[in-house]
Amino acid sequence: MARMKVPVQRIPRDGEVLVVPQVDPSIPEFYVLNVEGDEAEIEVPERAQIEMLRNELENLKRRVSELEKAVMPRATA
Amino acid sequence: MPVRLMPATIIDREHIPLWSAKPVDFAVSSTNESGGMWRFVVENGVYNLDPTKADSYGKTNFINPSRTYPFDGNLATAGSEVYTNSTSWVDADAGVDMSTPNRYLILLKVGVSTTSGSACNIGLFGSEDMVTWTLLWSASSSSLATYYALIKPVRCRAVKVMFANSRGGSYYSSCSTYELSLYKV
Repeated sequence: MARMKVPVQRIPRDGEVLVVPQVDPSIPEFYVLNVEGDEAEIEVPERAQIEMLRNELENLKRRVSELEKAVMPRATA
Repeated sequence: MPVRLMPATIIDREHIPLWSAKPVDFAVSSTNESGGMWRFVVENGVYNLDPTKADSYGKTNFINPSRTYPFDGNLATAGSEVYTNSTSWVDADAGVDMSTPNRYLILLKVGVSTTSGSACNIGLFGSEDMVTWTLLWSASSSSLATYYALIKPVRCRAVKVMFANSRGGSYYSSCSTYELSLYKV
């Protein structure tokens, strides 16, 4: 499990206040372990880490493919 | 009365401090269901919990009292989905007020779906006073998904499921809570 500290947003809503940690949208699932003031500690479960790594791998593959396409015409010129 | 968590396959692991009076940390490697019971793995010990033995079993759903399925002790039942195109958190279909703050182990099974091109943000919020609601768990899905979540013992009086769509407008997210179980620890 990966843990990290993130800022907290307090959102007024219909007489209530929602305390919501501001987490990078690339994190698909997380648990909130603790909130202290304007900071929260979150935990990212392993299955979510796997999904993030797969997404990162796909992005890297796409980037490599784009770079290869850009390099090829120059190499064959 | 506080529940005692009995390991399913390892009977000498009763000292795992899930029900300790003071907060302790432990690693949860998986949460799902088996034979109508919650099933989760904590530090290589497999635990089963009966949803009908939850302290929240049979309680009123304060989000919508006619929706009884989140507290019926049956992990297979879900009602009609609720929808939103709001990009802000809104109440979903399940919430329970335990009347007094205590430490609870919480288990949740919820299904979500969303319009293609958007994501459904689903979250479980807890409160000690029914005014300030703190996010305890959240997930984001861009497709049909069923989530199982285990919230380590946390002090609260009430919990509720909320959700939002990532884009809004003509994009909608839906969700339906199968079960929400609170066990006093």
